[in-house]
Amino acid sequence: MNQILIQFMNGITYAGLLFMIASGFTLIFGVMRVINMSHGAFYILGAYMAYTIQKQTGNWLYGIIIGSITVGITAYIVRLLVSRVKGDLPQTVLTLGISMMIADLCLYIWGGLPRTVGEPMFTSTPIPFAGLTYPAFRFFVLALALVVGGTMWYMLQRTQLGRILRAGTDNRSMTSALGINIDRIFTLVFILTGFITGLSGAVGGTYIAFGPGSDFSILTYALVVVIMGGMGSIAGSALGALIVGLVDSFGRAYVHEVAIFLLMGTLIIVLAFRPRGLLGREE
Amino acid sequence: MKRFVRVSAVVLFVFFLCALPALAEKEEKPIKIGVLAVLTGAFAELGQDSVDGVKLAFEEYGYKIAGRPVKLYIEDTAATPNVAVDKCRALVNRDGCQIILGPLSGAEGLAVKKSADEWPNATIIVSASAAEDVCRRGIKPNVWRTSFCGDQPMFPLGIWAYEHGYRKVITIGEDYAFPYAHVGGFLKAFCEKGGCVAAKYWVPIGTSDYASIITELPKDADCIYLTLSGSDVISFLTQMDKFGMMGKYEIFGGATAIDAGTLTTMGEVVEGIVSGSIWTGEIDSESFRSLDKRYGALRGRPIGLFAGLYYRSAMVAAIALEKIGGKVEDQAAFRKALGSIDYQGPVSRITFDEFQQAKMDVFINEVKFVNGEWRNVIIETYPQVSQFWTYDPVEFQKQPSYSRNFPNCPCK
Repeated sequence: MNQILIQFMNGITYAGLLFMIASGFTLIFGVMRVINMSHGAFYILGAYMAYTIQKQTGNWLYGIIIGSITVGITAYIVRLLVSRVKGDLPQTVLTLGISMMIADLCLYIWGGLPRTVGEPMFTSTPIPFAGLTYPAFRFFVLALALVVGGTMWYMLQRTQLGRILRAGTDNRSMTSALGINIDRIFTLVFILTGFITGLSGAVGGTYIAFGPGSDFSILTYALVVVIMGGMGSIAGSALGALIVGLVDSFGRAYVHEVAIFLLMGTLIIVLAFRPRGLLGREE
Repeated sequence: MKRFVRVSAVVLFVFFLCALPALAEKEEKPIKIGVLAVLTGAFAELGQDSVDGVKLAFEEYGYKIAGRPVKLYIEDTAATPNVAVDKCRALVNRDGCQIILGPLSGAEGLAVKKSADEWPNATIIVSASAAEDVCRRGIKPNVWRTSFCGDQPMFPLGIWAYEHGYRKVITIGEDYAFPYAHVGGFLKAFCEKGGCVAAKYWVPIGTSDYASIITELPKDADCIYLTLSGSDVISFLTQMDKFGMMGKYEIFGGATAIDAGTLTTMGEVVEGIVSGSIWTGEIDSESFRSLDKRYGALRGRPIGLFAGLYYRSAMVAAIALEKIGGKVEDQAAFRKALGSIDYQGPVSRITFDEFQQAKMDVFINEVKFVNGEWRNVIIETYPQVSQFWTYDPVEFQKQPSYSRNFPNCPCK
């Protein structure tokens, strides 16, 4: 029983991180119909920045903040480039190119050794949980994901910006015909996404090592979560992250040889019954 | 008479002109050496180290062997077997390389071996790929290996672990050919002594979250044998540390898991970890110190396994080339020279067995803090280990290839 409880905890704390990674990805897709292939590169850029700042100042919080802001700015630049290109597919390919450039720059600046961001002091004492000392940092990640998710939910459901965003997701041309500057909204979404992804990179990089190649494994996880939950739906990402986290955790513990198969198998079953993902809507 | 002198002078001059290119060619026709390494993706750092190793070796010769300049052609194989074969083909057919150093990762080595008949006029010196069958179960005349066979350095570690009182092991490895052989060598020795396996975990390359494995580790085991590389080993050890599990089990590392790069990143977390390798961070030899210093000047950290492996293969090639006066076109002579090599490298003496696989010293290393740096320090040396350890080669090659389930000896 204890063992199952622990694996459940492993699953939902991992899901917290996955949700933070996937939420930005799904937001961009929902509003702009762009599959942002540089999402994984955003993640490692945030992680690398946090690593450097943490190392220089010894303060984890500074690392997290600078990491998030750097990626926010990078996302703004990417948005400027993307807006010069017309059409969903060329935009997607452009982001793929940008992803490779960022990854190569990271390799050039930080070298290829895998790294982790130094842990903050406030989570250095493990918490007893189900007969085990459980790392406090994982609880912190879960709490942070809840805060990020809650804020996003509030923003989307309760604010004017959220109404515009939802309207834009439903019908882009109609929304701009109503006199709303949709370009400005797009830019805002990109910056916000960059910020959240940079944050998840900095936080994730604290307990998951990152290096060259991590960008693509992160992108893969983001894609699985988002496709399972439904492209463009924040609640879908949360649900998708929860399923992926739990399947991954239990799979790895009890049938580790086929853990990936199990994960993709779940995805295929979901898509067989709900081709647009669990909470995806018909066009 | 005057006319005769003039004519003969002109004739001589024309002869001289004709001979010039030939003379010049004889002087300057380069020895072309191709290097196959992984320069992008998860193994990029290892590839960079590999290229460094090759360059460090040829710098010692001033890029000139037996009067002929050495020209390097470097290709990225992306850790993908078919890319490695394509790049090897390009190096030989397009660039005219006569010697290939590489490839780097397990399956690449096997793929290149399988296609080796395509290039009878080039010799491939496998520099780092440690897949089992590169020099076993059928050999190719033009495929030699200066690197270790996956199980070669692990037989001694398995025995060492047993002799130091460890009986129940948990193995954790990535799910592909190299860790199968690496884990396999350890278990073959460990099980035959009388040890047993409490649990085996195989994870895909690039696994990031190990919490579910760490919280599931059998409590009655006394040690963990670890064959993870790159970011995987860093994630695993970081999370072990956060779960407060680092002291609960003795950890034994494979050659790639507890290498110089891991030590640089992890520092004190890995203090005291014992690993088996054909490389080390501290040995009493002049050539090692100077190599380590030159590498340190380049990258600012101690020299690791992959730089060492590629350095070794480049040195072996250079020595064989010197023996045959640089006439690399005579591949038969070159291979014969390889076969008779007895090279005292920075950490180990190198000779080849009849399967064209190098014999080398194997070290049991322990992580210690030396002069302000974390280094692998030798605690025991097993000299001149063969790829078949103490087994009979014929009998040995009859056993199945290493896999997830072979060898195995589950605890009762």
